[in-house]
Formats: sequence, C-alpha cells, structure tokens
Amino acid sequence: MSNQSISQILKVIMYVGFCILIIGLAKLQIVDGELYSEYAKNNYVKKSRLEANRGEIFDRNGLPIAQNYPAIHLAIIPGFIKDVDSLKAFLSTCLNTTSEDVDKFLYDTRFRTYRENIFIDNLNQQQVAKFAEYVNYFPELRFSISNTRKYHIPNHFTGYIGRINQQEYARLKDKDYHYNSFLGKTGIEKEYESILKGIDGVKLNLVDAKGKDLDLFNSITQNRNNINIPPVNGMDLFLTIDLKLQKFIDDSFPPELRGAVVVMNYENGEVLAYVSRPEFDQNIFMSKIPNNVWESIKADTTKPFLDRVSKAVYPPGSVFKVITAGYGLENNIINRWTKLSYCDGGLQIGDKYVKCWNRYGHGRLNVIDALKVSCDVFFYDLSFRIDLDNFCYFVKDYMLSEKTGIDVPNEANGFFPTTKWYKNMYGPYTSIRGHMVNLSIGQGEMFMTPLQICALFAGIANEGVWNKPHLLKKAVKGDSVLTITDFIENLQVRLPNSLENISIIEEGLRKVITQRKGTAHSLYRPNRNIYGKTGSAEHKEGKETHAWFAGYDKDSKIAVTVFVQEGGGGGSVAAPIAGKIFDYYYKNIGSYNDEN
Amino acid sequence: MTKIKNFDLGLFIAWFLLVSVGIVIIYTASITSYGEFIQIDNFYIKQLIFFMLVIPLFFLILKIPYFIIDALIVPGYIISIILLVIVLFTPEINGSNRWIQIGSFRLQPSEIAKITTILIISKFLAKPHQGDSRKILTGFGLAIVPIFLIMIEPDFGTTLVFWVALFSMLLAVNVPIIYLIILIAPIVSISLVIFSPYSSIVFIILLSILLFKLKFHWVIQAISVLVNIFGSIIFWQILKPYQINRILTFIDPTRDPLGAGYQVIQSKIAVGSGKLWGKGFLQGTQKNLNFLPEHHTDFIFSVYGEELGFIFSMLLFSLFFFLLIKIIKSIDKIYVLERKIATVGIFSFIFFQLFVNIGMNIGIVPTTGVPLPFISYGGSNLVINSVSIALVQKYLVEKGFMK
Repeated sequence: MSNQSISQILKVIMYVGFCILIIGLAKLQIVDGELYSEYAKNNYVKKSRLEANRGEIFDRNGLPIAQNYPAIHLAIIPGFIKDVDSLKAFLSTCLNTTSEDVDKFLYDTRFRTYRENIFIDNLNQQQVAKFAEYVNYFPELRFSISNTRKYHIPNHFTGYIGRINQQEYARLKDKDYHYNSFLGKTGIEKEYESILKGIDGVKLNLVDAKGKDLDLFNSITQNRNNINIPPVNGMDLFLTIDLKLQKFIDDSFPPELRGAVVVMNYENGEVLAYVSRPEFDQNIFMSKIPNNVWESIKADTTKPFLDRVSKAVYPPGSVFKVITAGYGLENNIINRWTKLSYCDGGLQIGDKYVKCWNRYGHGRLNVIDALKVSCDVFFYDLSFRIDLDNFCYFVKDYMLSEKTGIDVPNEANGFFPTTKWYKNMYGPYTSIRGHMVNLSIGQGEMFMTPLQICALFAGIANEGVWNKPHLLKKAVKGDSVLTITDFIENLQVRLPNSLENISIIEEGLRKVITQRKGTAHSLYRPNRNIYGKTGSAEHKEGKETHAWFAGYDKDSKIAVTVFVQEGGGGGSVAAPIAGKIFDYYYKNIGSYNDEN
Repeated sequence: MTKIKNFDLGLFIAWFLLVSVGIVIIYTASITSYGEFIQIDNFYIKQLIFFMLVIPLFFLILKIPYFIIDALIVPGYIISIILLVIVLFTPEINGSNRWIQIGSFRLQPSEIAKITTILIISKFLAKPHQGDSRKILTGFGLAIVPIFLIMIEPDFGTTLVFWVALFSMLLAVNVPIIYLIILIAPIVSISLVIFSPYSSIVFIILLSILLFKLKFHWVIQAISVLVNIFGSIIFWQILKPYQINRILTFIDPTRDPLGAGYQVIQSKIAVGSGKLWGKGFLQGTQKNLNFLPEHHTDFIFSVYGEELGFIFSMLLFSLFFFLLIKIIKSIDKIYVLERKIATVGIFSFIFFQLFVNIGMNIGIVPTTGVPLPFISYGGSNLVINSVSIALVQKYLVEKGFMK
C-alpha cells in the first residue's frame, strides 16, 4: 500500500461519513422537521393525570354500598433506588413484604423506572407514621394520596376493585388506563366498569426539564400553562338491592350455615337481595393482605369467596317438580284432575322399588296435591310418559340450565342432561327411563343456581312472563340517567306454559302453604297470599340434604328463594328463613316500595 | 527556520473559525431564559479564556525547534499515563473518574493522552526495518495502556477514539488490512452477538473462509476463530440486562423516555425542530427549558441545530470538511514518515469524534461520551485539538527544512 493511498482511503471514508451525517440531518430537520417541532412544542408541557372519581354504588333507596375515601398509598420510583437490599429490609420490617414481592414489583415496572408506581395501597396511620420517619433515607419512596374504595357491607354482587395488572394494562392502556389505575375486578364493579370509571382529566403544566413547574411565570405567559381538561367522574350506580332487606337477611340467616338467598321483584326482575353465605369482606382487597390471612382464607373449606347465588350450581330437588308438572300439563299428559299411581311410600318400577320421601305414602293424588305434599311417586309415574330430550328443551325454555343474564359477571350455566349426554357418560345401554325417574323430582345430573330457581318462580308468579334478574336500577350523573334497558335487551321471556296451566301450578304452590299437610304450612299467614315449594335435594351419600325453599308473595310482589347448603329439610330449615323475609318485607318495605 | 510560504492559512482560518463558532454556541448554550427569567452560566467565558491561551500556544508550537517537541514525546506519554492513574484516585464526578479538579478548572487526562499516544505510536512505527507483526505489537503495546486506564474510569467512548487512531496509523505504515480485520473481528462478532447470535455465527464462518482462502498459517487461523467464538459466547452470557436495555433503547429510544433514551429523544427533538432555518439565536425552546442537561458539552450540536437550523449546520459541516480535507492534503505533502503517521492519527481522531458526536446528536449513533472537536465546551479538549492542528501546521511549515 503506497503512502498515496492512505490519504485516498481517508478521503473516501470522510466523504462517506459526511454523506451519512448530511442525510441524517436532512431527514431530521427537513423531512421530519414539522413533526419534531410539534414534539418540541409539546415537550415542555408536562401532562399529569387528574384522576376521575369512580362512581359510587348505592342501594335502591340511596343508602351507600361502595364509596370512595381518600387514602395514602405507598409509591416507589424504581429509578431512584440506591440500595435494593436495604429497601427490602426496610419494607419487610414496616409492611411485612417479602423480598420476592419487591423483586416482582421491580420486574413489573422495569419500563417505567422513573415513574411513581404504586406498591402498597391504603397505608394505615401507624404505617404512615413509621414511614414518615425514614422517608428521607429512601428517596425512591413516595406517598401518593388518592381514592380507595370502602364497601359498607360484605357481599358478593358488588365485587371489588384492584390495581390494574400487567395483562390488563397491556390490553387497556390505549383506553384511558394508567399503570396505576383501579379496575373493577369482579361483580358489579367489573360489569359496569365502563360507566363507573369516568374519564381521567389532563393537567398541562409548563415545566422545565426537571419537571419543575413554571407557574411562577404565569402572568408572562398569559395562562398558557394552565390548560386543564377536567376529569369526567364516573356515574353513580343505584342498584335494585334493598340494603335494609339485605342486612335483615344477613342477620336472620343462621350464621353457621352456608347457602344463598335471592329476593326478586317478580314484576320487573329487580333483585332486592342477593345474599351468599359465608361472606367475605371485600375491603381486605383494598390494602395488602397479610400472607397468613390470605393463606387462611384460601384454606377455608367453606369457600367464602364463592358466590353461591349465581356462580355455584346445586341439584334443585323438589322445587323442580313444578317444571315436571308444567311439562305434564302442557303436553296434555295430565290435567288438573288426573290421578296417577298409588303412593304407598314408594313405587315398584320393574324389579326396583323406588321410595317416596314419606314412607307412609300419600295415596292417589292429582297434580295439585302432589305439589302440595311433594309426592315423589306422582312424578315418578309422570316421568314414564316424558321424553328426555323434549323435556330438556322445555327446561331450557324455562330459562334453566342456561345463564339468566344477570348483570354480575361469570354467572354459572347450570346443567341439564340429554339422552346423548347419558349415552356418552354411561354407555349406549344405560336406562334413560331410570335416569328420568330421578330427574323428575329434581335429583340426579341436573344443577341449577339459586338465582335461576328464583327467576323461575318469579316467572310463574308473573303469570308466565319471566323477567331477567338484574341489579342495576339506574346509573346517574348530573341530569343523565341510564337504566337497565340501556344495557340489556330482551328483558322478558314468555315461559312455555299457558296461563291456565300456570294457574294450576299456582294452585298447588298455594296449597303448600295453606293446607295443613303442605310442606311449608309454617309460612301460612291469614289474609296473605304466599305461594311456595320446598325441596330437600340429596347430593351425596351420607350428607345432609340441601334445603330449598322457593316461593313468592302476591301481596308484596316478591319472589324469594332460600338455599341452605347441606342444611337438611326444605320445610324445616329453608322455609322459616323465607317466612321471616316475607314478614319483614310485608311489614317494613312493601308499604313504601311502590314509590320507587 | 519557519518558512512562512508553507504556512497553511486555510487550515489556520478553518481552525480559528471553528473555535470561534464554538464559543458563540457555548454562549447561547450557557443562557437559559424563560420570560424575564434568565440564567447565564460562565462556560463561554471560561472557553474564551482557553481560546486566548490557545492562540499563543499555537504559535509557540510553530516557533519552538522541532527537536524539543521530539524530546517531549516520550515524557509526555509517560506523564499522561501517570495522570490517567492519578485520575482514578480522585473523587468521582458524575459517577466516573474522568477529571482532575484544579481550582475551578477540570483537567481531563484522557484528552492529553490522545495526542501523546498518537505521537509516541507514530514515533515508534516510523522506525525502519520492522515487520508487520512487530508494527502491530508496537502499536498495540503503546495504545493498550491508556486504553486500559480509560476503560476503568470508565469512559468507553474515548477508548474508541484510541482504537480508530491506532488502526488508521497502522494502515498508514502499510500493515495489510487483513491483519487489522483479524484484529477487529472479535469486536465485530461480540457486537453482532448482542443483536443476534446467528449473525455472529455467520460472521465467524465468513471470517474463517476468508482466512482459509488467504492461506494463513493454521495456528493463526485457529487462534483467530477460537478467540471470536469464545469472545462472542462470553459476552453473550455476561451481558447484563441494563446493557442489553441500553442497546435496545438505542434502537427504540421511546422505550424509556425518561431513562436511557432521554437524551437521544430530546436531542433529536431539538435538532429536528430547528428545521431549515432554526429557531433563531438564543431562541431554542429545548435549550431554554433545559431539556438536555449537558447541552454545552457532548450535546452542543443539538443547540446549534435547534437555533440555527439545517442551512447553518451545512455551513458548520463545510468548515469541518474544509479543515479535514486540508489535513488529508497535508498527509501527502509531509515526507517525514513519523509526521505523516501522526497526521493520519490526528485526522482520524478528529474525524471520528466529529462523526460520532454529530451522529449521536441526530440519533444515528449510540450515545457515547465523545465531544464535538473545537465546539464542545471543555478546556482540555480545546487545547489538545488545537495543539493537534498546530502540530500539523508545524509539519507543513517545516517540511522543507527536513527535506
């Protein structure tokens, strides 16, 4: 290589280098210049979020169920952390967080290291005092004051809110969610998230690069730095729930038992009470749950988190007999006078003797009396004349074994079998007739939620017009009001029974209460029109039966379903609870409820 | 002794203008104003003082006999090494040990080491009757000491300047380019492995094919390939997440707009928003609201681009281009090998810093702490760059004498 060529090489390199720089600069300043000057204009404006107040939740009479309260949260700016180990040690002594909590937090926030990321919600007074002493040593710790939620009664329908998690944030960040946003996680909070949330506002401040507010120069800049887009607060929800009734039911339900109670206005499907026992207090989710508490809740065999009203399914037992009776009547298999086989405490079917619940027997009964005394034999006999698959459609038309569509998310379907299902399960030679016998009295492979049962009885009470159960009465903000019809269409369904047949069933349900032999005679009140049906569903060998009572009061126009898990007999356990509810409602609320 | 007719006036004027422009830009970079609020830092005054010192120094270098400079090369190198060691024991400034604080001035030994290392390498490379491997060993041996010391300061960007100068000087003494490729190969494969392990594998395969075709001794082939493979694997495994993050942030600065990508984004916004004619002298909004904390040093071009726009940036480029082309031309005019090599080294280190600095200001080169020669604020930097130009001028002036 001659000495001449080194200068040539350098020259070429220099030409290329300058070309690259000129092209790069031209792209930046000429091609994209407009874009970058737009950036530059916005650059010295700091956007901060003005959090919208989440809508609050009230009962039908305006009593608060879930409200916002200001609280102090602990935020961490990961970029300012000097010594992770000492931070971990400090947090673990003050808040009992583990090292893994902090590691996970730091991993989750790795792309926003210079932002305030909420670490712990809702510090209590002692914790704040403890932090205030040491906060100077940890520049990464910040107190953040914003709303938290307080739930006034433990319940399963409102659900609860929580901080947005990684997956939700990835999905929702374009929809006005912030990495510290709250989000309805379950229940009403989740269902009506879009109207509860509101729209966060923006506060624009002229700042220097360190984020320092330049408000000082307000007069010079003619208010250029005070451009605010105020937040739009969320809508307040008024639920159909009657909080007093809800509380009364809470108190009257035997504390040691599990179960569910639903009270509906059968004329419009409004759910007045939605009780699932045992309960849990959603407020525990509003701050960090101590690990031991969390473990004990998870280990609790009574499953307090389970919503037994709409998310758990159980065999309905004898309350289902109204459907079997309805099918028989509607398909002209029986009429109101038809008497079926003699009940001597059971029925001989082929080589099997199937028992009635009453071993002394009921004799020959028509459908009304069979409902009254809940005679199993009548329905066994009826079941021989029923085709399973047709029956399955009929059950579906009664809005059983499918979601009612209540505005609480994750409702259970329930289940009703078909011939095909039995053949798949038990092989092609299984006796459908045998299964049918079981199904006719609400036993066997059928599962329903207490809500479905309540909606069914409400439909019967409402002369065969089934109303979709719902919890939202209205959503209000200023002058604008939304009602349930803005969210759910087709609120009503015609049940597959004629009015005449419904009145026959109702006659049976009435006799359950009025006549001495009726299974729920304890509910008899003179001058009151209470109807009902009890059930004691067997579900597992050797366990107590599930106690059911489903009924309605024609005076105060409510349908009540009481379900007590492994509670025993429907007439002895469930019906008295329902009786208290009927009485309470009739006395206290029935009178003024009509105003709403 | 000095022949005025060989004095390259163009080179001198280009240098003078560049430093003057630098002071003007440092002046605007020193002022952050908003409304009636004005904050003026004294950077431009300090720089002006240095400029006043540098002009006599320039002529002093032209005046003193060359043998004095020659005699100073080895002691200068040793002193700069000593300073690089001392700087490691001084208090940290901004998280690294780059400066020795003397009164209100900061001495940056790595700047001094740039010119002394170039001079000593050219002195030794110019010795006759050396084989290629001996040249490489000499060059590396002399460069590796300051590079190592600067690495642990740490100041990665400056070490790159040393490598570039070293390679260009080795090229100037006719070391075949393939040797240099073999030497650079590990760095390339390590860089590639950061982006994608596969590209690194392809590169190593291509390298071994090349070595085989050129019929290198099998020992050299084996060592070269093994070094590449192990280097890549080691770096692939030991690269820390924040380092990967830094690289990824370079590719997409918006990943961390307040962290690693902050400066790049703000600088691009500043330069881009200058558009064709700029926002006007002293009028840069990015600068005035202090979005770039260090806009009088490494990111000074962003102030220039924002306030003066594309047209004036082209003027600045032309000045640089003129200066550099003058240096290249002088390479051919200088006949003493040692000085020719030194001129090549000086050209490379000035051009490389120019390219990397403006490249990072407009976001096409990763952020490395390399200042813009003659323009960025910094006494050591200004003095050393000016001394380099003065040396080239001296070589030109004295070429007749040595002939």
